[in-house]
Amino acid sequence: MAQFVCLQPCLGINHAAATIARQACYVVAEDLLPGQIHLGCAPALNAHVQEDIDFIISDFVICLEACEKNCAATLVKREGGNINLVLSVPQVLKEEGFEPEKESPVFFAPEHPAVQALANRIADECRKALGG
Amino acid sequence: MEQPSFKVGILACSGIGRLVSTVTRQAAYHAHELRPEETVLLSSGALTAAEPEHVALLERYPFIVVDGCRPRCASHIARQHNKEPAAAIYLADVLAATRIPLAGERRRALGENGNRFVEAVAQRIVEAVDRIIAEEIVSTL
Repeated sequence: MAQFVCLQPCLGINHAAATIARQACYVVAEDLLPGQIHLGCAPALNAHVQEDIDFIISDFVICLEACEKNCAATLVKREGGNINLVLSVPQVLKEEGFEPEKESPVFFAPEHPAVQALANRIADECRKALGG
Repeated sequence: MEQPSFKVGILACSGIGRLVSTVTRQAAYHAHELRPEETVLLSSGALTAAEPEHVALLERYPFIVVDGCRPRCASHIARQHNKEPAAAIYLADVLAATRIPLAGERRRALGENGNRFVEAVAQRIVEAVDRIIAEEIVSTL
């Protein structure tokens, strides 16, 4: 069983799904599974910040992708990290009844139903990885 | 001022780990709201993956990097693509100039002072956008 899960969101800026995923990561890390989640920062990993390299090598890594370009997984793969699970954020949100492509990407409150729904789905996957 | 025939890219680090990551992201959105026709948002995430459409935007337009914290990851992205930014904004510089207190602010949802900081950073971005456009105008007239 993994000791930590690294959530690696794509951090895109033009898609609402990317903003929802970023916010959901905070909800998982701070509210749902505190102390068990590392937040993988794509630009820091790209700049070879050691902490972020450690996350993708040592943790169970979940990539959160806002579109089909799969930027998070592409980066993690290039940097030699684990890719244990790739979640398509639009697909998860669609299953939960949300259509993020119609929304502005600027901001989603952590309490937003789409953020909460995605956070709960991510947390379910984290619990499986953590053996909880 | 005449409408520019080109745009200015805004490349904010838009990371996730620190409060300043959220500030860079929100400041980029706000600057784009203030100059919607003149700017284009460049995605740090897409550029870290060398996504071709975003690399093409980086190649096409002059751009501003907005770095949140010490590794200056947005600047690193520019160097990685052998591109020199037309302007660079580092949040510590803006904080030193404005002295906005950030204690108690949270990266998931900024409060009053966090949003004041976003406004200050966005204004710096807009000033840089306007200067780059003006420079282009005076160079081509």
